[in-house]
Amino acid sequence: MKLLIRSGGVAFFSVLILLFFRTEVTLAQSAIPERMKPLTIIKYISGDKYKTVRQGKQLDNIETEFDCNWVELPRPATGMVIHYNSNGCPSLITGMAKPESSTSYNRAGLITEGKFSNFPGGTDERGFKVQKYDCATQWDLDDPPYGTPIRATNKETGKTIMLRKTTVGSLAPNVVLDVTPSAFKEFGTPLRKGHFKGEYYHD
Amino acid sequence: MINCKKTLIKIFYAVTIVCICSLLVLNPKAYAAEGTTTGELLITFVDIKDKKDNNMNYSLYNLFNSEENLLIREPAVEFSAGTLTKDKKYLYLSRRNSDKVQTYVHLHQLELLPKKKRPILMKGSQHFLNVDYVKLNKDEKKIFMRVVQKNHGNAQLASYDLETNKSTVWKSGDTDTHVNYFDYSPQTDQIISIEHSLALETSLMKEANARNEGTIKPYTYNVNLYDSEGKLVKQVSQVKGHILDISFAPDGKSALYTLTSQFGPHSKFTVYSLDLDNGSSTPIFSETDRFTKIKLAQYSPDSSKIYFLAIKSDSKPLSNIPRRKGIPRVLASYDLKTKMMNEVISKESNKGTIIYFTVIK
Repeated sequence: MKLLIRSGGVAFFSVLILLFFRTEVTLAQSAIPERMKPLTIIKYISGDKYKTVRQGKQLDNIETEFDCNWVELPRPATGMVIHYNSNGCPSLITGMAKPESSTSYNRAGLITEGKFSNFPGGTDERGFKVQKYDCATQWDLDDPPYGTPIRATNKETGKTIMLRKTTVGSLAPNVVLDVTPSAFKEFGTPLRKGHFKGEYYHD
Repeated sequence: MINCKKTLIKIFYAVTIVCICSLLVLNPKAYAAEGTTTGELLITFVDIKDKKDNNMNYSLYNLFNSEENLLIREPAVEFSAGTLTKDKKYLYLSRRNSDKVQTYVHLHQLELLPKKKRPILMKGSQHFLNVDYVKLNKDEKKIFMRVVQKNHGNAQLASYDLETNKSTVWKSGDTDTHVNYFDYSPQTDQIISIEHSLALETSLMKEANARNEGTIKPYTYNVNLYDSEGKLVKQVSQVKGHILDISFAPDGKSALYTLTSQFGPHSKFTVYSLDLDNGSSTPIFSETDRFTKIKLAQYSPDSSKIYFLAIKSDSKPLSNIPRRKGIPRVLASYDLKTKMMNEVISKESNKGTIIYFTVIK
């Protein structure tokens, strides 16, 4: 009987501990979640577990019915941090041992082609206070000096916008430029689409 | 008598040979062929030789014998611009530094001699979000650099004291003046910088985007001269256009800058000489059909040539993969006497492109 009570007690406290940590540690599937609440940040503490660094929230002015399947995600690994953008799609991945993709290469003075995505405003992963026309380049492709003017074109709408490179990050592997949601809309593509084909230039 | 004459002739020849040898050893310029320049270049280049990784390389290039010494090679993650001590013992460079979630670019010291070690973080630069364009002063006790502070959108000039490990941001509270580029002259112990207003840039950007112009109107830059403590010596000039960079002449009395009137893929660049006394600018050379997208123009140590980066018109992309079609930049020179341009260093055969360099003063 005593053993039964002790076992019950242990089980009860185990459940309590699990409930307490339920928001901190989540058993992940073998793949990175392709959608989370907008602005969520998660960090993998092992190959199949992540903890929530920042809890996302539902944003009133963002439509949430969209498809994030276009983002090619790497396999999760310990130390990997995934930032979700205002659409809830992964937009920035840090903590990878090395860039997952080096399929594109470009340095100063050239035109870079690929997908453009958007990242939330506020403060970015480098601590920069993000302004409307700030943008981030893919770290393994192109990293011009801070403040470099960027001429970016949406190849689907033909709209060209002048931007300013402030930061760099390990963007989703098929993304070459990350812009703010308001700049994204100015390119003529609705935010719910999450991405578009583009090209950019800098000196 | 005959023997004495022979001996004297032998002594004369011996003395002559010793004199010539001494001259050659002490002054290599004396036997350099016409058009040959002495001095060294610190080069930063990126290569995709490893197929999967991009690698950042620092190398020291000897202009006289074309020998190159690779100083560091590591995966490329950030734009990096460094400086080397005169004894070549230390390389100071901007480099990525990460904490648990955020990543920054801070100043690092890499010990090269007697044995190469891992780069170490210079802790006095830790409170910046970004550090680049690192330059050592003449007595090698101070580093000048461009930094971005927290809650600032503008890059600013700062100095780093290597003895106390403390950094000082010049005009620390200014959130509008953005430093595009700067150079240091060991001859005059002064800094020259090109700066513009961030508010003006934002306003021109909004205007360009509202009109769907696809380009941005020229900025107005202030070219300022500072002493090594950050005190403004004088405003040298105001220049309208899009300036990429600026560099002192070896005597510190004039500077070179690269300018284009219109920003965009079809822009054409011209290198100007700026007289620091009266602020007047004189065009020296422009990009040609062979060498395009000129940047980072700098005088050779003897002022006979100007070195610069450019894209050659006949260069082939580094890869055939459509999205990996980067065209390499090479280092070229312009001879001020013959007005000829020549390629000096290319990394094309190693699937590389030169992204930054400095002429060691």
